[in-house]
Amino acid sequence: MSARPFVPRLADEDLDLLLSRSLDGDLSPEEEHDLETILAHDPAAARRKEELQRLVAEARALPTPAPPFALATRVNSNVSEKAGHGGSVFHRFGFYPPPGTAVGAMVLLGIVAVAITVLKPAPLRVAERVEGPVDVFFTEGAGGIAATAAKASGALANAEPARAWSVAVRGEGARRWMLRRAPEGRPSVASTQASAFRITLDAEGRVTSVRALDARPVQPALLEFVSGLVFAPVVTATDGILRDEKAKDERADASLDRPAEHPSEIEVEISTR
Amino acid sequence: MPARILAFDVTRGEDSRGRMAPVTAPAYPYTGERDWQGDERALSRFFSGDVLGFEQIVRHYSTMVFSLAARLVGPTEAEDVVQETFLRAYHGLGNFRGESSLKTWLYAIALNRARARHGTLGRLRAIFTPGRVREDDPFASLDAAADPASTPEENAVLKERRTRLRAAIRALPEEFRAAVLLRDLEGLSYDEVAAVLSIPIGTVRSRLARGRALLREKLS
Repeated sequence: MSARPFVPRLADEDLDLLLSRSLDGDLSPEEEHDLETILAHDPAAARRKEELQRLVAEARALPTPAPPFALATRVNSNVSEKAGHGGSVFHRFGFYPPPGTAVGAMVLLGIVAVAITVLKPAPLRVAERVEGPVDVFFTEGAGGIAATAAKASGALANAEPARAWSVAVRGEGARRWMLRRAPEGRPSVASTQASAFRITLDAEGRVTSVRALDARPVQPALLEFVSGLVFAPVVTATDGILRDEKAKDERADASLDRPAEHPSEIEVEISTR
Repeated sequence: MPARILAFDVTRGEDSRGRMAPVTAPAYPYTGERDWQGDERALSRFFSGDVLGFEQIVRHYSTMVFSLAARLVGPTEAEDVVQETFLRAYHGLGNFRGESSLKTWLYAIALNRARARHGTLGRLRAIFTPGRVREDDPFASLDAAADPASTPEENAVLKERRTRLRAAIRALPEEFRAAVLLRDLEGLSYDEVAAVLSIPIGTVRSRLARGRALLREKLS
């Protein structure tokens, strides 16, 4: 009685792998022997191998596409031309964006622009931080009307010998308030000395009370000038967010019948230059 | 000083109407240049500042790169892929460290260029002309020349089988298609296929086996 040979049983995928490798001569002698044993005892596997063998032979016999006339010449000319110009900026850094990148980026930018326009996010009020005194210019003489623009105002171009009130918010108040507007009426420059005031502001930045900090007498016109000053709250990017939160709190306070606004008190120094 | 002669292709198999004709001789080696002195000499010539070094590389490899590109994106877009491949190679040759052969390096660039082009343009074309691109066989003209030793019926059957085979290869998933193209149609070894695709040899074996099995299922 002859011994029945051992026939390995393989899944289809494993058999395909073995057959594929055998077509490329990639099998070890042991694997080759196993495959031959399988093929000898499994007609379906043998048929599979024949089909695969024929398929690979046909694929390898497919005609090779021939290049168009003078392809290498055109390639060399193109390379010479583009290399002569140094190539694209991207190419110099080894970056080759795929075709359509520029168009895609423009479309993306357009979508972002439309989204921003449609959604209309709340404008962020960013005020310029005032660290030092603010000069309030006016024209000496000629009716005594002061031009009350801020330092950066272009109205100064035609000004005659200009004198300026220097309005400086001192101390901690400078972090919260900046000068917004000065009154047109002004006291006499000649009779005015530097003076400091403690003033109280309402929520709109208008002066509600003025108290002179100097012992010497203060010209009434100067007091009137100080009373006419209008301040604006200093808002920074982060302050804006905090203010939004504060406004919510204040609305909540209003619903509880609590006072929503609290006057601010700041110190201001007025001098002439 | 002798006048420099720029590269001229040895044209093969092109009829009077500019259509591609089949190549009956073994595809490799493609080059017909007598002055080809190997990758190393061409590279050293290029690195020493002689532009002819790169021209030699183009002359030697452009046909091979075209063949792969044509099979990946079709003959009409293949030249663009070849142009992009060699332009990129020119700029990137300074970073070529010789860890792989120049041939597999160029094949890898061509494959990536073809993928990028096919990815963008192919999808756009599919949107605007649905159903047309896949049905056409861009290589039909390759089978136009009949084998005089065969009967007309045999030639017709052969042409039909080749058209079906090409369609089946085009329909393969990309990872299997690349492995089958490089191994069976371009004649690269397992090592070379692994280098081009940047995958281990074991993965090459399994992708080839799976790709061939899929082809067998489609064509049986």
